[in-house]
Amino acid sequence: MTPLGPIIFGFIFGVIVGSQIKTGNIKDTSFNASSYVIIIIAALIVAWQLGEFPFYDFLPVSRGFVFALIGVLFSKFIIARSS
Amino acid sequence: MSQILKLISLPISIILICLGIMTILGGHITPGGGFQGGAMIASGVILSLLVYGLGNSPIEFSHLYVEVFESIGALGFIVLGLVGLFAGGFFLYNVGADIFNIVPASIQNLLHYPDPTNAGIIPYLNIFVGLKVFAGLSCIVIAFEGFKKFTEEDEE
Repeated sequence: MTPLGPIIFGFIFGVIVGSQIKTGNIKDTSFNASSYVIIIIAALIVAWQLGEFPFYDFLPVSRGFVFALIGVLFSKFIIARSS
Repeated sequence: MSQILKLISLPISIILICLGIMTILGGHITPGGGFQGGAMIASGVILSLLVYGLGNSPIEFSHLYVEVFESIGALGFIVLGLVGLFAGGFFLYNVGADIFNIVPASIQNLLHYPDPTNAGIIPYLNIFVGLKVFAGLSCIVIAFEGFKKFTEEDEE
């Protein structure tokens, strides 16, 4: 059975931290949709290079990392107060 | 700070935060754990604060946010320690994943890795410690940045 812990807790931790990411504060630099596509691609490469760390299963990516990223971006776009 | 640093530091901060979360979640099987992972998350926050400065940083925490999550981390640690005290006789005793035989198997195996033994409360302790360290270290750096701002204003 694949452990659901990294998926659940990675997402919750990501939501906690990502809820405070507000790019509206930044002066003279802008982050648009294409910036986040690049961030997602870079993060997926990192997750793939990490391999199955730390839970051994059939997926070639680190699930804790991927779900933390999903949580961060989800709460950054949904919960964070300013754009 | 230069434009290049401002463009690259937010993506690096996000990746550092994800790495820290992954380190916390693997603390019971690999090197690392709550403190190390929390420090990695805080390093992402610190990078962003140093590059953009206090007031302009995309990752900034309010007093309430830091207070709430640091308290949750400390309270969770104490509660898990007290569970060990009442169930096993010692503070922070690892009572295992099945406390008083009432926890269903699906929850027992939530953070169970392919190994003959179950880590019990250790992953949950790591999560609470990580929450506390991340909030505490970020709070220290935000306070230092604030003190620096005050000092500069006084000198002017």
